[in-house]
Amino acid sequence: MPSTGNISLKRLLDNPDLSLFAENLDEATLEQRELKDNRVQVVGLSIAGFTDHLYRERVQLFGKSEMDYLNTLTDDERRAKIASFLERRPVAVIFTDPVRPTDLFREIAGQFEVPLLSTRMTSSIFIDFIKDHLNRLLAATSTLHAQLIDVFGVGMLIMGESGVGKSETSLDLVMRGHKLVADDVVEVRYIPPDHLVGACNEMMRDLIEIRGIGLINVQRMFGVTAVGREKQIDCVINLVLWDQSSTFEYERIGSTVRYYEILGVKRPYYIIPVRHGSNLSSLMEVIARDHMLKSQGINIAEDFEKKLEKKLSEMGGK
Amino acid sequence: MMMAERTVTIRNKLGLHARAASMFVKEAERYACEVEMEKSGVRVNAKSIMGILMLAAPFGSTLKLIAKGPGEEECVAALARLVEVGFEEES
Repeated sequence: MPSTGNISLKRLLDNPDLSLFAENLDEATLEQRELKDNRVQVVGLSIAGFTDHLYRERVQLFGKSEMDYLNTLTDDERRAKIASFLERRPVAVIFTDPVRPTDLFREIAGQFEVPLLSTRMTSSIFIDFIKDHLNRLLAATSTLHAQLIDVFGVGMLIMGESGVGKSETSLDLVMRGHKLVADDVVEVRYIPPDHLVGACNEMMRDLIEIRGIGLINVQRMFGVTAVGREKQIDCVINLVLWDQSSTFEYERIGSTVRYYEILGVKRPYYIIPVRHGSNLSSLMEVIARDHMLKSQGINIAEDFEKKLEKKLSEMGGK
Repeated sequence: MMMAERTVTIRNKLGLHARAASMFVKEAERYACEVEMEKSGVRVNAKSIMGILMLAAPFGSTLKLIAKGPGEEECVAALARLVEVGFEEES
């Protein structure tokens, strides 16, 4: 899994969707506590003393079943179980509605300096919200020098060296009714298990730079349907200046699929030679259509090769 | 792999504004090497005006210039000089 950044526990409290509040530490202290892992763990057996599978870097969710279990114990047993769980110093324990930490829990958490939080949501709903939120906040990200365009619903990341005509291609695609997501700078984040979502930096939103003209606001000029906020990246295109002397072998049949890797995730990769006068936007539309056919299991190159092989073997037999 | 790197500080009061960014990109485009600019962990292509503008580098911020390829040393030196003279503005 790609490396991820860190966030403070305070960032969780800042999201109203999680309905979280701090039980035992103030916000300044929570600001200092770092969270690295995007996974969460239900406390479960850890509260019964089996802590072998407790991952202390994961947020621990404490709900009704854990509390009901503690209530079956004697006072001494209860203190011992809570202590054996908290002495592992999990990064945070979140209590889900209707459960709240008891005085005993707070006392022992204070001793081991474990942050306790509570949510007004029940565990079954909260677990989806927090997973989604942590995936977003702790997603591995990368900034790419490329265009991101939504062509017929296919997210196309278009790369290529400066001056090859990326922005002009994007503008042309917008004029054919497709959506610009980002020009020249694409912020990509990885969403498990294998999604890549690209977006535009907030500063540069809706803008495109065309040499000789300058900045164009695509939304103002072409309307609200000409832009998209973010888009999943489905395929990667690299525009390279056509060079007669180059020994690079461009794909001619389409039977070998190349892949380009971003944040550990592979996407189909097309290397397109660009010549003066190439109609790049048509080519991009064709790639998008081909991608859609392939995702429906229709592979033109494969079908053709089968047909050709059959013909060849028939003829060879005569 | 060979690479030229230099850390620079924005010295003009207005920061890396639009006109300065376009001067910077023009200079970068004179070199054949790949060149990137990094601010607080975000790295962009230094030949991209969109990239440079996105970084929104204010007065006093530090930037890293990284060049790779033919003329990398000269490229980094020229770009660093441009930043360090404050884009020839009176400050």
